[in-house]
Amino acid sequence: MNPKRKRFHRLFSGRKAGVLLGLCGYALFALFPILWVGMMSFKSHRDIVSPTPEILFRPTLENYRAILPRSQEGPHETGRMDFLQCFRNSLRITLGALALSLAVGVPAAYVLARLSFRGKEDIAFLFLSFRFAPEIAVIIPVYLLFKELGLYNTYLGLILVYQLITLPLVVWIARGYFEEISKEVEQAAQLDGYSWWGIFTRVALPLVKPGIASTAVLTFIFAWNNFVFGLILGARETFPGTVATLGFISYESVLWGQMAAATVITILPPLALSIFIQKHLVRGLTLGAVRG
Amino acid sequence: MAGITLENLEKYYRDPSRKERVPAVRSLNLDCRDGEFLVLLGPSGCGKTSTLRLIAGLEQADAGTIRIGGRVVNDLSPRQRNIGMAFENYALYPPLTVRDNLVFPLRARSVPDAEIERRLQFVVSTLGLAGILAKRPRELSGGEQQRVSLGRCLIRDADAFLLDEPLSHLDSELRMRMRIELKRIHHRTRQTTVYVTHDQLEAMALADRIAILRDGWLQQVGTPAEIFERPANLFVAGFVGEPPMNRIEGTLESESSCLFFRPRGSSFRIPLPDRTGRDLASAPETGLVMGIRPNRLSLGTDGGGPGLATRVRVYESLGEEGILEAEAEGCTLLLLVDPDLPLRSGESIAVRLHTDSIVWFESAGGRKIFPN
Repeated sequence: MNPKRKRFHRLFSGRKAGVLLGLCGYALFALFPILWVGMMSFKSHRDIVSPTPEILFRPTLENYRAILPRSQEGPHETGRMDFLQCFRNSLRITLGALALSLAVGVPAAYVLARLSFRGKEDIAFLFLSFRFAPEIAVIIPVYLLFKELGLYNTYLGLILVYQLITLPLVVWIARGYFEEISKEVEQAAQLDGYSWWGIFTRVALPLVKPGIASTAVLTFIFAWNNFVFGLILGARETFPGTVATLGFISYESVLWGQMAAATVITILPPLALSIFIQKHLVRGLTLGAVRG
Repeated sequence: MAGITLENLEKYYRDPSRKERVPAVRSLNLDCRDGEFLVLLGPSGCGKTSTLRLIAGLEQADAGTIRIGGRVVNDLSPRQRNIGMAFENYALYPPLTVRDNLVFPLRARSVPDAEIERRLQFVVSTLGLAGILAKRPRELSGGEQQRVSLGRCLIRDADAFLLDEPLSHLDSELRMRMRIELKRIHHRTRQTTVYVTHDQLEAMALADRIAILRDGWLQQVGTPAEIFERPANLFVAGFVGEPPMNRIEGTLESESSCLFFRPRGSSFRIPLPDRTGRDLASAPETGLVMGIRPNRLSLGTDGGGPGLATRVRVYESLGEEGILEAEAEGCTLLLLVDPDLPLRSGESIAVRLHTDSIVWFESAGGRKIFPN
C-alpha cells in the first residue's frame, strides 16, 4: 500500500470516519443558510419567489445595485432605510464600543490579574454577569432609562449599552493573557525602578499585545452581530446594519433579494476578520473558559 | 555597596483555604556584611526565598526591621531600596534584545547615554556577552540567559545583589562552570550578595558564610568549614554533605574508667578516648547521637582508632570515589572510600573510626553538645 493510501485508510477508519462524517454534517447544517442567502442575493425576484427553487439560475447584481448608493431608481423607496448609512452606523457603534471597552477593560483586566484586594473575584464575576441575562430581558428597563436620559437613538447610548457585550469579553480574555506573563518579569521591572504604570505600559502591554489584538477582533465580531439593542434603542438614524435588513420587509412585500444582499454585505467584515485570525480566535474563545 | 541586617524578621502568608496564617520566616536575625557573599541554604519551603523577597521589598515584613547600609528600608518600595535581583527563571523581557534588556534598568532611572554605554561595556566584558547583544531571550541558551540576567543586576549601581537560585535550571556541567564564574565576578566586584539555593554543594562552593534555614527558623550561620565540621544540630548535619553525616543514636557506658558508646539495640560498643568523658561532662548519659562524616571512617584495622566489625550492604563505585554502606547489627554506616575496591555484598569488613572528628548531639531536640 503506498503511503497516500495508508493515510487515506487511517483517516477513514472506524471512529475517526464517524467523527469526520458528523463534523461534515454539522458544517453543512451550519453553513447551508449562508450558502442559501449568498445564492439568493444573486437571484432575481422572480427566481426567489418561484415555487420550485433553482440551483442553476441566471445571476444578477440588481439586488446589490438596489441597496448601494446612486441607485435612486430602487423599486421600493417607501419606508426603506438607507442601507449604507446603517452599515456606517454599525462601524461607528461597534468600533466605538470596542475602543471604550479596550480603554477601560484592559487596565481593569490587568488589575484583576495582578493585584490582590478584597472582593477581587466578586468584581471579576460582576463583569461576567453582564452576559448572564439575555439582552431581551433587560431591554425594556434600559429603553425607559435611555428615553429619560436622552440616550435613546444616540450613538453614545448604543456604545454604552454595547458594553454589556464587549466589556466582559475584553476583561476576561485579557485577564487570562495578563496572568500568563511571568510575575518575575514584572517584579524585575519593579526592582529596576519602574512605577506601576510604567510596568503596565512598558512591560505588560507589549507582552500581551498579540492577545489583545485577537481579543479585539473577537469582541468586534460579537458586537457587530448584535441585533436587539440596535432595534429597540436605536431609530432610523442609528440603526446598525443587522437591523437594516428588517427594513426590506414592508406591508406589501418582502424584498428577499435586497435583504439577502444586505445580509451578505453585513456578514463580510466579521467573516473576513474571523478567517484572518482563525488560529488566535480558538485560543481566545477557550482561554476565559478554562481558567478557574 | 552596603551590608544588610535583618532583625527579628517575621513573615506570614495567608492560606486562603484554611483561613490561617502560615509562617514563612520566624524571628530571623541575620547579618550580611558589606562585600560578603552570604548563601541562604535550606530545603524547599524553608523560608529562604521569602527572606530574599523581603529584602527586595517584593513582600512586606509582618514584624522586624530590614536595614540596607544602615538605612531602615521596611517602608520603602523595591525601586527605592536600590537592590539588584536575579530571578530563578531569569525574568528577561521577551520582546527586547539582550542589549535592551541590559540597559532597561538604566532607562528607568534616566541615566545619561554616555554613562549607559560605559556601564554596558563593563558588563559585556565581565560576563562575555559581546556575541549575543543583538539576540532576543528566546534565542539564547539557558546559560546565556542566566548571564544576561546577572548582567542586568550588575549593570546597576546597586547597593546589593539578591540571587534567587540562579543556577537551578542549568545542566550540571554548566552549573559548575557558572558557579566558578559567579565566584570570579564576586571577587572582581566585591558586591554584597545574598544568594538563595537548596543545593548544599553550591552553597559550600560559593559562600563566605552560609545561613541554614528550616521551616522559617534559622538553624546555623557560619563559614562553609564551620557548617561542615561543626553542624549546630542534627538537621544541619544531615542536610550538608554528600553523602550526609552518619548519625548513630545510643548511650554512653563506663567500665573500669574506660568510656564506651553503645548504639541503641546492639550488643557491641565503641571504645572512646579518655578525654571524651570531659567533653561530654554536661551531657546526659542516655539519648546521645554520635555524628561522624563518611570521610572520617575508613576500612581496615591497622592504625589508630577503634575498629568495628561490619558487613557490606551496598557498594557504589562512582568513578572518582566510592560510597560504601556497611551494617553492624542494625546500625548503618556510610563511608567515603576508593572507587575500585573488590567489595561484595554480604562480605565482612572492618571499619575504623577517627574519633577526633566525632560530633555529639542530644537525641532529644538534636542540638549539638560537642564540640562547642
